[in-house]
Order: sequence, then structure tokens, then C-alpha cells
Amino acid sequence: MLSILNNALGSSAALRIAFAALMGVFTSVAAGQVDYQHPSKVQLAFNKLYNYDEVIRICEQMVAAYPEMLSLETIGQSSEGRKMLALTLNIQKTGPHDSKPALYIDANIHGNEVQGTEVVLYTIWYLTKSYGKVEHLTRLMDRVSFYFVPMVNPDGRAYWFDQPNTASSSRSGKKPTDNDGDGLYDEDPPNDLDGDGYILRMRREDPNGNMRESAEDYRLMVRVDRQTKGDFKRYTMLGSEGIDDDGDGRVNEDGPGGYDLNRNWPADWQPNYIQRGSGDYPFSHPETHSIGKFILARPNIAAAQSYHNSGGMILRGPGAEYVTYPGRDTRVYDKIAKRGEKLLPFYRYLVIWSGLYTVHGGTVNWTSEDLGIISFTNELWSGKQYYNRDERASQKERLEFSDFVLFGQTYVPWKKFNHPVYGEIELGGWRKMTGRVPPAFAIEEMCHRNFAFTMYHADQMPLVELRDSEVKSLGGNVWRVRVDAHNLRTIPTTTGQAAKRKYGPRDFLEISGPSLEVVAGGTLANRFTAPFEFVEQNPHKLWLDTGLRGDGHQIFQWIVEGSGQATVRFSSARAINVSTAFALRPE
Amino acid sequence: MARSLFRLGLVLCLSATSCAEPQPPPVGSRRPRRPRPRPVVVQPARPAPTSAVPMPAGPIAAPAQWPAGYHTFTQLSAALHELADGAADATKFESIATTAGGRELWTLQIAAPGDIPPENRQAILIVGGSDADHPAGSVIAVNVARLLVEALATEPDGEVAALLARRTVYVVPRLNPDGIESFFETIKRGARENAKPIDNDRDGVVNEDGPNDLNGDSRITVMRVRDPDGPWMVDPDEPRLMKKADRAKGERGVYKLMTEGLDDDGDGQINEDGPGGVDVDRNWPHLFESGVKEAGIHQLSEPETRALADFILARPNIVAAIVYGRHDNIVKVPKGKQRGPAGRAYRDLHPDDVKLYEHLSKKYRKTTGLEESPGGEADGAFYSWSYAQRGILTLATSPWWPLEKEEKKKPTTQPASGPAGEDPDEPKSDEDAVPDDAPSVDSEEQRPPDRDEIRARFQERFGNRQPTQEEARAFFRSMSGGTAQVRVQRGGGPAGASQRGRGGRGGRGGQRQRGRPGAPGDAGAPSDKPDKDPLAGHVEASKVNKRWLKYSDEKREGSGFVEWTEFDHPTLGKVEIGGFAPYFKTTPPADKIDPIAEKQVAFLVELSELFAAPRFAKPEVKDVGGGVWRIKLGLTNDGYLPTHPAIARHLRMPGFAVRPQVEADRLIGGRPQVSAANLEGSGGSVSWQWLIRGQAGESVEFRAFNRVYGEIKTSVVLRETPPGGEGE
Repeated sequence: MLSILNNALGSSAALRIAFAALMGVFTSVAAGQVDYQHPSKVQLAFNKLYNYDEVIRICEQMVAAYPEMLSLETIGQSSEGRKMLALTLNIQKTGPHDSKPALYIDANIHGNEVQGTEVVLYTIWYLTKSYGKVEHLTRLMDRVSFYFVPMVNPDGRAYWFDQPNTASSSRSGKKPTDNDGDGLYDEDPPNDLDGDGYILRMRREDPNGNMRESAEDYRLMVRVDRQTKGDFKRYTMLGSEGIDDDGDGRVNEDGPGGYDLNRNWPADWQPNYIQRGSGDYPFSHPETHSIGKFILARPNIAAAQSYHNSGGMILRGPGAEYVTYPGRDTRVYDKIAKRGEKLLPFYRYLVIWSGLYTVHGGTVNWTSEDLGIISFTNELWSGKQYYNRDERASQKERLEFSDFVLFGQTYVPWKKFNHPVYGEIELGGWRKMTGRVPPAFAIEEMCHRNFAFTMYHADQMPLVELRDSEVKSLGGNVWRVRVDAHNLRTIPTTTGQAAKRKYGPRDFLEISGPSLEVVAGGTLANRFTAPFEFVEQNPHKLWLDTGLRGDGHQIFQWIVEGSGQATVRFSSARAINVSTAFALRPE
Repeated sequence: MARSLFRLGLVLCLSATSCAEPQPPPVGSRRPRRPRPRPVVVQPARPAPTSAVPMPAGPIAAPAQWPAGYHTFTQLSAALHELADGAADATKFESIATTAGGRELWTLQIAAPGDIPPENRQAILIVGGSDADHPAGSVIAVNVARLLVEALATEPDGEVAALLARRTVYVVPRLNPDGIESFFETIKRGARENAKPIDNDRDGVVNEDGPNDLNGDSRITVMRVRDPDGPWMVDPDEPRLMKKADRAKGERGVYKLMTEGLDDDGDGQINEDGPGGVDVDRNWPHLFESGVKEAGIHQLSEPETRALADFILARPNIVAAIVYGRHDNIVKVPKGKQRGPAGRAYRDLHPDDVKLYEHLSKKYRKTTGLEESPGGEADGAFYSWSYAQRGILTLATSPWWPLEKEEKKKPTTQPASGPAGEDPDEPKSDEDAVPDDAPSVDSEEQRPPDRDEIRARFQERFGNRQPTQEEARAFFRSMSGGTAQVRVQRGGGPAGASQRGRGGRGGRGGQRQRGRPGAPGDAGAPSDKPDKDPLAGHVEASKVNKRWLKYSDEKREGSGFVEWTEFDHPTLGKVEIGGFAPYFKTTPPADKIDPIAEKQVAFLVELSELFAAPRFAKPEVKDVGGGVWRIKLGLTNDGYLPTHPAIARHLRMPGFAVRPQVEADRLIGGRPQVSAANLEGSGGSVSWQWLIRGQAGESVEFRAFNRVYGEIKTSVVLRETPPGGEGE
């Protein structure tokens, strides 16, 4: 741009002066662009989706490029032996990863719900390139750590990319499962009969059929309406492309897998007959089990995010009507998610059981209900985003979107096929890369906005400061010591749910000194009129069963006898532990 | 580059069945059994039994050094090794897990060599030592295994050998080896937990405040502490026992109860973080008590429980299980009633299985002579999981009950020790609880109505009128009893939670308050029982405790009860220490073990004879002309037990899939595959018809498959059968 201007402005000295004046403006704009388009050491496009191998390679490249903050481990193997990859992002010079509150992010637990993995890759990509460059993120990265599991269901991802599929086939992991109880495993999947790489819909011309082509668009099938007269062909819809592979009279009834990894978590887990696809018992699958162990080994996780598709939702638990969360937690959820609704246009903040459907044993149900971690599930991409308006695009409008925006690339028009059982039929329908995933050009926006939401979430993790320490002589060697413990962020150091479930170590505030005897210890509601609420036992160590609440502070007081230095230390698994030291002498 | 090529190769390899390590079966291949996890085989691999001779050729030597009485883990391991070695072709001995304490989780498969491989025979699973405060359960399981193996040699024509020729017996003799090992420690605690270190009070220090043997009698009992606010007083009839003061009668409580011990860590609480661990019999998914430390961080979180779950899942041939321990559901059969937050899980038995259990109970009581039981607590217990979530007919039993039967007295002649209106015959403490502690509600009422019933009631309620949405919603809510029940339980209050909260209580067994967890996420874990002192079982003057005391006095020289003695407690001042001795009520004298095991073996024989015996019934064949034959064929069950008990149907366990083995174009009528959800016992049958084209005299094969019973085949000859079918 500058060189073009240079040429255009010629070599006149007067113009040069004018240009120099202009330059001031242009330079700052150009520098501004560089400011927020910091290059990464890893070139990565976010207008496409990556398959299993590519995701592994990208993760390895990212770690190779940023070894000082990013590390990678294989925490297990999937049913088919693929890697369960976990990454840790931590600025080591500000402390080990488990000394800071952490945000855990995963994606792609449902094999076909793929684009969350790209959001995870984007998050890693953006954070690594921004450290030391973007002040907001640098500050955040200095005080929190991040754990990523980009593919919870790597078998499902590989299957969805590599095999003929629809947008919705299939959620499951790929452990062979006898869905129909005949002793055969995965013996009757959908079949790509015409070998075009897609699983399409089948229709057959049938004088008694109850479907016809819509007058609006021949590709749309509508029910035959007795009132409509006219000359039209009738059709019978025959379901997904396939045959009765095992000859039991049913088509496509036992495809790959046949369970739901997102019903295999311990919180409110229910057996199969109550919650379909839940598996033999909680954590019965290698994928969920390895992640369960990973999370339980990290009590510093204070926030969690799972990416799914689709529908444009920010979901939180509970998953079932009879489960309730403490009010002090729901206020935290509300604050974060309401911000999310603004950051993520066309996304709605909903509770899983009331806004979507009842889920027993989901991932975020476990993290939020059993572990008290503030957790969200985002359903990426909404039907409102085809035309960026508050109403979902109709089927007709989606076809138009395919025609005029994507040049017909996402829909296969009806074509003839000779089916071994049904005879002359037609195949047609949506390709898999549509409906549940955004068009390629919208992937980056999806990635960035969701990344921004999780950064807001991450920044709400506890940040504790000890302030206003006050020492007053009570005569002789006896002192009254007061300290305010502030949590400057929204998420409490112990959530209501963690306190209720008694998960993780308890927070405490402890006073100590080389020559100091603690006479009493406790809290004050305020510094002026409130009585000293003291504890009966061990006054030096004050246990905070419900932690430090978010966006607030609590006043602690000790009566001590002694002299010299005193140190007050705050400890919590979900906050950086802090201490303050002062001398026992009158102020 | 080389690395990425290698990676590519690896991934390609993983997706190809030929070189992948965990091989998925080829699509469409018949694989009647699940892939089996490969456990550590401790014994050197033995040649697979190939002989068709039902009995082993040589005599089987009984172990020379069978340890008498209770076995330490080392003794148990050696004895099992020897037992398995002595009958190598009839046993398979392997460890399926290692505990936190470094002990092996042994399993022993017993099956006489024969045509049908052990994994294809209907099997009984025996589990002992799940309850660590019940070491007798483990020892009885081991001795049952020994008697079974010995009988193969000593009585090759006996009924035990006959059982083992047709069935497989899997024995898991000690599910909680860490916990049971504490029985052999000098100081007896009655611990239930395994050796996994747990920070019960969440103070960052593990196992720092367990119970202490203050009076030096090597037994952890109860401290009664003078306290004007305490709820307990000395029972006027039996001064060794305590009762809760009834203020309505002007009685005053003067004691509170605590487990014998000190505040080791000086946090103001006594015994709140003792040794261990997770109670492996509270770690199972059915009615799991989420949020209770001793129940585990999540369901099947322990190596013991997860390994046994996988062991069972890999053996669908297990049709029945017997569990020796603290629970019972067979001497006293629970009422079938519904419970569970999702509203559809049965707490104990499916109502339609109650009759079946009552029949088994009759046989069991007759054979074993047991007439009373300590009851069962389904929450997170193994026996309740294997029944309620796997559909296995599971019998839990506490096989030792030394108390003599008492004449039932009229309630009016009995001094009421409980709250007014309570039946004095009802045990008061948790430990004494009998299974039907539930309100005596007719099981019919508790059962969720099935679809037809709902339809009928809907019709009754609304006739042909279309109900409004509100009405319909209210109606269906009223139909699903579970939801309504949950609502009620919510009011239960968190009282129980604080009782159990810090857990610990020094691993004291037998008397921990078993709160019923409400819906997960509800405040605390509301209890639907009135709050009870967790130590009550050790000192309360309940009717059953008085009988135990009598038994101790008359038959055990008073060894079962530690007389109250004064002790100068460093933080509590003068206290008294006493109460029932740990293990006294669960642990028979060593010489009683053998007779108990013998009776259990006798019952095993009886039970195995009741198993379902599905087979194809005689076909009816009719020539309908044009080379087409009508075949009527069914499955029938010659055994006593149904192939699928009500619980298995409730769980939607797959039934029998039946298919004629003919090409599609020869099947003129009927379905290519039909199914039967269940075959009732004693001749229950399900049949189907097909039209099949073929030559007269030609054979058509039919196959039925079920994951439990395997594959059943029959050949039907296309020749008219005389009318009447299977009438013999």
C-alpha cells in the first residue's frame, strides 16, 4: 500500500512534504494492523476443516513452534487405537500449570460434530502467537493455564472425514457394537451404493407414494396433499442410502458403533434403557476414561468448555429436571453466558434439560455437577447464520444458499440408481459438509467469536489478592491483625456445587510467624460494627468451605501474641495462592 | 519427513484390521462373545482341555495345607494356587486387577472338562469379600470353591461333579483384599474400605486422624461421652446398652456417642480421616451415592470394581450370582418397589421377579436353615448392580446367623423403646434394619404402570375427549411415580449429609449411616429415613442387639461385647469405652465355616438345576402346494427359570434372534428374522410361521442366537408332520 502511494504521489518535493504529513496517519494504521494480526510461527488456514491426521500434525507443529508455553501428551488410545491428544498451554515463567486456575476445552465428542476441533486449534494458534504482543491476552496467560483435548472421539472424526457420511452420521465412537442383538457387530451400516462418497436419501417413484416434489423447488419433497390437484409424480421415501446387508429384513439397523460418548460420564449416569447410548457403565469407554483421569488429576480446573454442533447455543447444566444448581453458581453462569450471547450473535443461552433435552451422564454435567467446574457446551453454527437474521433459513432458503452462495456445491440433485432390492430409485440430498458445519468462509468467524467467549470465561476464573493488612496493638505483645481477601473475578474459588459435593481440597487462610502464637481467628462482616466471628479450633488456619465468592471480598481477623514477622497465606486449588507479610508493630 | 511418513504408516496400519492391535471384528462376522480383556494369567498357560471325557482321568488332590479358619491374603493366594494346580484341567486361576495396597484380585473359574467350552455354559458367579467388615463372606466363598473342586475328585459321579460338567462357576473370593487384610491387624477396626488413600476431610492431609485404641484392648469400639445435650441414655433393662431418650416421656439424654479415638491432627474433630479408602461395595453404579467420599469419586472408580465389572461384561454366560457379605435379599425377599431419580430404576427387585425370588428364598432357607437376615442396602452395592443393571439373578446372603429364633411376643407386652407407634419388633439401628424398611406399600402400587395400563387409565380419565395439554401433562406425571417420589424426597433435608459428610469415622464398619441420596445435585444427600446415629448399631438397645448380647453371654463367654470402662480422654475428659466388638456380628467361629460352605454348595446344586434350558420345539410342517411348505416352529424353555427375568426385560436385554437359513428368494412368507424377548420357565414358548420353497425331504436349518445362551440350531425336514405338534 505504501509503495503504491509512493508511486502515485510522484517525486515533487512539495508533495513529499505533504506525504510526510500523511505518512504519520498511514504508518499508525499499518502498525495498528500488525498489532492485531500478529503472525504465528505456524501458518494455518481457518477456512477449512482438518481431518484426524491433519489435526495431529498441526498440534505437533504448534508444540514444536512454541515449546516454551505449549506441550502435548497422549493420554490414552481410542477404541480403534488412535491417539487421545491433550495439550497444555502454560507460561512456565509465571509458575507451573497446576498452580494456576485452568480452563479445560474439548471438542468433537460426537464423531460428526467436527468444527469444535478447529475452534480449539484456533484458540491454541491465537494464544501462542499473541503472548507478549497482545496485552489483554498476555496478562490472562500469565495467570491461568489451559488444557485442550481437540478430539474426544478421534475414531468418530476419522470415520466422518474418510467414509461416506451425512452431516449427522454418526455421533458414536467406533467400538464394534451389536445394536440389534443378533450376535453380529456393525453388520448393516448405510452403504454408499453409487460410490459418489456420500450417503444420500433414497426415493422411489410409486403411484401410491405419499410424497411429491415441491412446486417451489423440485429438490424439496413434500407430503401429498389431497386437496391439490394436478399432474405430479408420487414418491415413497426409502430412508438413507443402503441395503439390508445382513438379510434380516431391516435396512441400515446396525452401523458402526452405536453409543454416545457424551452419555458415558458419571454425573447422573443412567443405564441404557433409561439413557440410550450411555454405555455399560460410566467411563466404560477408553476415550471418556482417559479424559476422566486427566481432569481428576487437575483439581485446578475452574472452568470448562465443550464444543458441539449445531443450533447456536451456549448450554449449561443441569441435564435433568430433578438436578438443581446452587443460586450462587447460576449467577456466575448467567453473567458469563449473557456476555457470550453478545459475543456470539444468533447463539442463545439455554439450560440443557429445559432448553434442549434431558441428558444423563454428559461431559459438562459431570464437570459442573460432580466437580463444581463452571462448564459450558457451545452448539456451533445456527440456521440463522445462513442469512444472518433472527429466523432460521427454511429448507428452500438453504437450497438457495447452496445455489447462489456456494454455487451448488453442497447439494446432490436427484439422480437415477438401480437398487438391488428396490429397483429403479433416485438418490439425492445434502452433502455432509453442510447443515451442521458452517460454509468454509464462515469458519474463521465462528472460531474467533467462540475463542473470544472462552477467553472471557477464562478471565472470570478466580484472581485473589490480599489487601489492607492492618495491625493494631492490643497492649503488651498482643496484636489484632486484619486482612481483606479479595476475589477480583466472578468465579468463586470454591463453587457452590464443589462445596456441596465436597470435591477437591478446601480453601484456607493461614497466619504464621517465627515467634507468634495465635489466640483467636475468624471473620468479620465489616470493619466497623460487625462482631468477630471466631472459630473454636486451630485459629491459625481458617477453613473456607465455600471459598471466596466471586467479585467480592471477605475480612479475616486474628488475635496473636508475639513479635516480629507475620505472614498470611491463602490457599486454593483453583486460584494462584498468595501471601502477604507484615511486621507486628503499631501502625 | 521421515517422522510423518512413519506416522502415516502407523495410521494406515491402525485402520487396517490385519495389523491393528485391538482388532475390530470384520464387518458382518459372527462374534458371539464380546472381546475379552486379557487379564494377567498367573499360572503358566495350561493346554486347553480337549478331551471329551467329562471327568478328569486322574484323581484331583485336595490341597495338603488348607489353612483353617480365616486366611490372610498370603494364605488365601497360596491356597488358591494350590487348589487350582491340583485340578489344572478343571480350573483357571487368574488375577484381574491389582489393588491400591498391591494385592491381586483373584478369580477362579471352575468347570469340568467337556464338549462345551466353559465360556459357552450357563454360569454362576460367586463373589465374597466385597464387604471388608465381613471376612467370613470371603472365607466362605473360598471354601465353596474348595468343596466344588474337591468333589470332582472325591465324588466324580456326585451331583457337584454333574453341576460342573454342565455349568461354569466363577469365584471371586476376595473383592476387597486390602480391606479384609485389616481384619488381621492387631487393632481391629471393622474397616470397610480399600487401601486407596483418601482425604476424607479435604484438608490436604491423607489418613491423618483415624481411630485410636485408647483402652488398649486391641478393639476399636464406642466412646460414650457425658453431655447434657446428648441424645443417649443407658437402657433401663440392659444397662450395657444405650437407648435414645424419649423426651415425650420425660427421659433425658446424658451421653453422646463417638468412635474410640483422639483428635490426632488437632482440628477439633475426632477420627474424621482414618485409614483408606473406598468401600468397594458402595462403588457400583446402581443408586450410587455421588458425593460421598467412601463411595468413591465416581462409579467403578476402583481397580477392584472396574475389573469385576469388565469380567462380568466379558462373560454374558453368567446367569446367576451369589454374593456372600453384609447384604441379604434372599432370606428376606425385598418388596419390588420403584425408585431412582430418573424414575424408572427399581431400587431392589422388579415387582414381577418377586415371586421368583420368593420361590428361590424358600429353597434357600430350607437348604441352609437360615431364617433371619440383616437386610440389604442397595445403594452402590455390587449385588444390586448386577441385578438391576445387568439383569443377572443375584442372590445376596449373610450366611451366618447364630441367633436363636425367638417366640414372637405381642407388641403390647414389650416395652416400647422407640418412638411412639413404632413396632417394637422392628430393629432400630441401621445395622439391624431388615430389607423391607420401606413403608409397607403394596408392590402393585409402586410399580410403574406399563403402556397398556396407561392407555387404559387414560381412556378412563378422559374418555374420548381430547385433554388439554395441562391435563395431559398432569396425567402423565401422575403415571410416572418416580418423578413424584423425587419431589417428596427433596424435602428430606440435608440432615444426613452432615452426618456422612466428612465420612471417615475411622473406617468404622457396620454402623455408618446409609443416607439415601436424593437426586444428584439436590442439597446434600437428603435421606428419606429419620437421621440415625451412625454408631447406634454398636450400642443401641434394639431387640436384635439384646439377642446378640445374649448370644455373646451364653455362647461366646461374653467376648462379643466390650464392657464399659472409664478412660481419661485428653480432650474430652472422662469418657467410657465399650460396645459390641468389631466383627463380632459378622464373623462366625472358624469351625462354623465348613458346615456353612457345605450348605452353600448344596444350594448351588439346587440352583443350577433350575436354570433355563432353551431349545427349539418340534416343528409343524405342512405342504401347501407348489413346492411351498408352511413351517411352524418355536423356541421353548424346559428349565424352571425364565430365560429373561423381568429385570432383564426391563433392561431391554436382547432376546433370541431366530432366522431360517435359506436364500431370500426361497422365503415366501414370514420374516427373515424374528425375535423372542423371553421364554418363561417350565415350558414357556414362542413360535412363528414361515412359508419356504423347497424339495420334499430337504432340510432347512434354523438358528437362534442370544448373547447369554449362545447359538441354538435345528434342522427342519420338509415333510408333513402329523397334526398335534409337541404334545408328549
